[in-house]
Amino acid sequence: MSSRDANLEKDRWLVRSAAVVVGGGDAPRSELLTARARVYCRASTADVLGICRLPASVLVDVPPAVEPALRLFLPRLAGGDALSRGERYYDVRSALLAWPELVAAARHLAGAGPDAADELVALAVHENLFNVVAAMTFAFWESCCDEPEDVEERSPTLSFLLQVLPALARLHLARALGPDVAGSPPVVDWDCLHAVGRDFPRAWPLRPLREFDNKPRVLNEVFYLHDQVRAHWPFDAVVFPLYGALTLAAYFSALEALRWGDPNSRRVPAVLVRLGLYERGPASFRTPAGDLDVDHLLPRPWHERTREALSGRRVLVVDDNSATGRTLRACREFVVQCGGQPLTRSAETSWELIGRRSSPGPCFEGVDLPGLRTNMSHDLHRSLVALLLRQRWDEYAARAQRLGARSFSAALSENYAAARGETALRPTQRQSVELEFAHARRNWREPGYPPAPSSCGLPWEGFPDGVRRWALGKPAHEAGCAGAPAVAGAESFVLAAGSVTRIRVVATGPGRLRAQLAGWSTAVDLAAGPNQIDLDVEAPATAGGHHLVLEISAPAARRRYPVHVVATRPVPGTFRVMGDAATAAAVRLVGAGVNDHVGPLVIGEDAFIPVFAKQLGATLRAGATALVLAQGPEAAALFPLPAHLEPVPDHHVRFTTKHPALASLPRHRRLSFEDAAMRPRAMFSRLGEGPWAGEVALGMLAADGCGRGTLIGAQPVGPGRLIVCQLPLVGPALAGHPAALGLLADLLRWAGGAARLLRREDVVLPDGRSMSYYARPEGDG
Amino acid sequence: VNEVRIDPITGEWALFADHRYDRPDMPPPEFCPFCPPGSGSYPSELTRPDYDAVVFDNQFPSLVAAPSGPSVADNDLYRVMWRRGAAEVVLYSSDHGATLRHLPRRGVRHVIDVWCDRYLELGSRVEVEYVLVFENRRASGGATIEHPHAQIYGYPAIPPRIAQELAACRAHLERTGSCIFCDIAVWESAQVERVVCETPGFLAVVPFCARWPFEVHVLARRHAGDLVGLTEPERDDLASVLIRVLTAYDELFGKPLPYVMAVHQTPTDGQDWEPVSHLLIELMPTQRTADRQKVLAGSELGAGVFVSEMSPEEAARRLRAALSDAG
Repeated sequence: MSSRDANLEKDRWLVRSAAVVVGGGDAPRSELLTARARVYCRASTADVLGICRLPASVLVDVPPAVEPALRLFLPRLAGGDALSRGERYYDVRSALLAWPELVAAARHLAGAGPDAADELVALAVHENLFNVVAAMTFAFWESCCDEPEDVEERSPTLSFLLQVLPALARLHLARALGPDVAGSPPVVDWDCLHAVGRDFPRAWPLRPLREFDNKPRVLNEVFYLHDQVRAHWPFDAVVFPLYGALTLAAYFSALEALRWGDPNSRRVPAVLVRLGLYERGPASFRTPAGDLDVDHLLPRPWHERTREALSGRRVLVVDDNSATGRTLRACREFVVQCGGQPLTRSAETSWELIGRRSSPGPCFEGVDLPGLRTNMSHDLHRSLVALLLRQRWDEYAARAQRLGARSFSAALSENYAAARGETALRPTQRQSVELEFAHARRNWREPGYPPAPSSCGLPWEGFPDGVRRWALGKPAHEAGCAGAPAVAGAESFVLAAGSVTRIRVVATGPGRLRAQLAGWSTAVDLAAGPNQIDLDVEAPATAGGHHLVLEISAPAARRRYPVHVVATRPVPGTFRVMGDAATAAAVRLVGAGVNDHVGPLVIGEDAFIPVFAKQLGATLRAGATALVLAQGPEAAALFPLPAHLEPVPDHHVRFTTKHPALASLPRHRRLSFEDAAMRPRAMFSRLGEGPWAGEVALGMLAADGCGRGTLIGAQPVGPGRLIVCQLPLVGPALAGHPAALGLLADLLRWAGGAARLLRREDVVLPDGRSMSYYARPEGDG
Repeated sequence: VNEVRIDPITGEWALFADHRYDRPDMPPPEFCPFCPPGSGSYPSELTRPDYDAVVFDNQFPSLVAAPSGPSVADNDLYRVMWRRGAAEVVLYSSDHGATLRHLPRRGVRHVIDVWCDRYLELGSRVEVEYVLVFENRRASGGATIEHPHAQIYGYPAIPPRIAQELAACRAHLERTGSCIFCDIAVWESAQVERVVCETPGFLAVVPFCARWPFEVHVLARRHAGDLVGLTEPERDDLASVLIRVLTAYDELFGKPLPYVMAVHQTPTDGQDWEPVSHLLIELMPTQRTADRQKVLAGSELGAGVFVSEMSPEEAARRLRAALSDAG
């Protein structure tokens, strides 16, 4: 196929891909790995370099084999109660001085199983080890190219390191995504690895860590390649130009192995090429004839292998970032030299550089698929790291905060708008930007290094599976909710099904604003300058998740706001309500009957007094259900089981599970209550055996993993069932708050359902399958 | 082959799992892998000698939590899903000769409670968006092991037939403002002629447009979307109705009638299906006479039109008579 034909084919692919996005279909495959990676990536906050703060409490109960490495690699911050990345994270040479401790810790954690240490500790150790091995790998690569006389002696070590690197990435992924999807841990020859570090020539140069090496960022990119690029352009090989894309290459290979369940999978070879250096450009490797000097790009034993891997194949070239496009252009030439058909992709793109250009330049000649992420210049990165290494924390923090002030969503939107208006891009490149934007909107997050949720005692399924896609920021730039009820999941508006709600939109004109929510839409002309428009938005009749879409024509911009629609349906049955008249009135308001003698017991909000404790105990002993609405901490002693209620800390996140009893709440989501009418005052930090009720519908979890509790849940008590809800519902329900009405109705329906609880015992069979034995309830013959 | 392929024309699914070739096929009782250990020479899948009910991952699962990738890539024309999900086996009793019908009422109620627990358990998993409880009875009903058991599949999306059912319910709701199954329950209860048996909470009817001979639908009278939403008395009622329908089946020809039973419940994909989801248990016998099997042939497979020689009303009458004979 000629290069012209190849280009035409790619163009056709890009057009097709963009058409799919415009048509709104073809969502990426959402298999388990993607879902886990999404959870992993979302679960954290971090600064612009992806640096997280680990609580010092993670050092409690650290195994002796791990402790020395932690002391060296995770120094305490100035205050003493937090740990962070230190000199050895960024300066590989100093890390090598602590090599024995690091290998010992990683080896212990790899062999000891998931409970050996806090997940954060394990992730930190694996990440540090990976970084050092990556730097050593590149150093060996350089030496094999620049000193060909020693290549025979050094290439076995290089081969070993190239095998170890994806294995370490797999170890890291196993921690991050869970061992059930990661399969059996990869085999690492720890003795050999230790020897390589021990004997590493101290005079060799070692490259520092790159900003793009932030692992969730790498995962986002790797999943994008798998889910989007490969889905439309089935490449047979990938070329990663060193040094920047080395981490990408290792994680790509690791994920490839996980996807196919085969640690040795070579279905899509990842080929490394020494192009795109940290300080020197690819022009350094030109021969006088203009070709790329293969001897300097590849160690000699790799020459034929690489040509075979690329010849006749569709080859994707992936670099971490692109400023001028020279590296990618050189890679494209190299692939063509090897007989392959190239397509190039930059994970980060210097949009700022494009914007500064007065006329279209050669920037994108080599980039078919420019990334929407902003390229952080190497100088900027180096200066930030320098501040860290000099322990100028305050200065670093202020600068990082300034750089990271924009959310990922905001940055993405700005780059997207820039791309759409960029005349230097070819139409097909613009279409690929549309594709990436659509994918990012659905799947990507911009977190840092996260706490691993699996250490928190709930199954994965119970954890936040979504954060707000578009932060509700300053009103000058965002839609605000005026006159609408406050929100039970602030990431979305909560509207009553079929209701009309006034929404205030602020937009800058001139232009035209178009708004759409399900079947409702409207369009308004904008005057020049800032406009403030009140829209009467009609909520759909169908309950569940929707989006309010706001589009502005000039400059073209589009924002989507999640809307959660709640339908309140009458609750059948009658309930024994104990407490104030307001609770009884709210129960009647959702259609249920109130009776003094019949039906499940409901204890009103802040009405749990000792005299009701006796009736609660009797109800539960009789095998019936009781619903206790929100109480203050002092009521904890009245519950007929160990209970502790404590004030709700601000730094805890609230999350719903997929519990079907609460149809009114968004399922499987992280919720925000900052601006909600239903702010809980206290949570159950203990209810029965621990912080989690037997069934958790709404829980709380500290951002650092060191605190948790139940807000809504059900707990068996003897033959009976106790349902608790710590969200104050009565007042908002009486005020017509749709979420409060919906939730109260759900809770009453739940309490009215069957109470019989099974005795279940779970076992794991020798082949790994799970088995559950169910016994009939006590007294059931 | 290791995936779910979606028909580009009809939207139907085909699930491919080639490892299932090796599963046992109707072993004799002494080789039953579902009998407790020690009861035969064949190795049991169980670890205890007795139990009320037990649930375990299918050894030959059609759907798994973390499958390996599909053998083919999907594209705009051919859609492919990973066969992620869950496949479980529910054993009702340690007695190889028992059937659901022969369990005491509290035993059937216990099975219903177990189904509820599994619905909650599987439905809460990220990869499961629809939970289907079903039972294949006897070989012609699709069973490969005689030991009394049901199966539960957790699908990664709402299966096409269920989606079609929900869409029809939504269309009816938008047209009339009411649930179609609630309307059917009221109508059938008043008309009587297709009713097999009824209780305060449930109704068993031969459906107006029955596809299978002696097909029966068990409907909740109240608008409940799933087993979890049933009250204590309603679950007891359901146990009674199931026993009576299965008794009618077994008395009909004087021998156990093979059937397929499927429990349709609310999807677990996180959407609010409450207005249009109504608990429905379908029982589809695969025999049309005592010794003749209902075979899907040209009209059924070629055009989707089921041909039957007996009206639903007559089928209901015979089932009522069988139930009456059984006392």
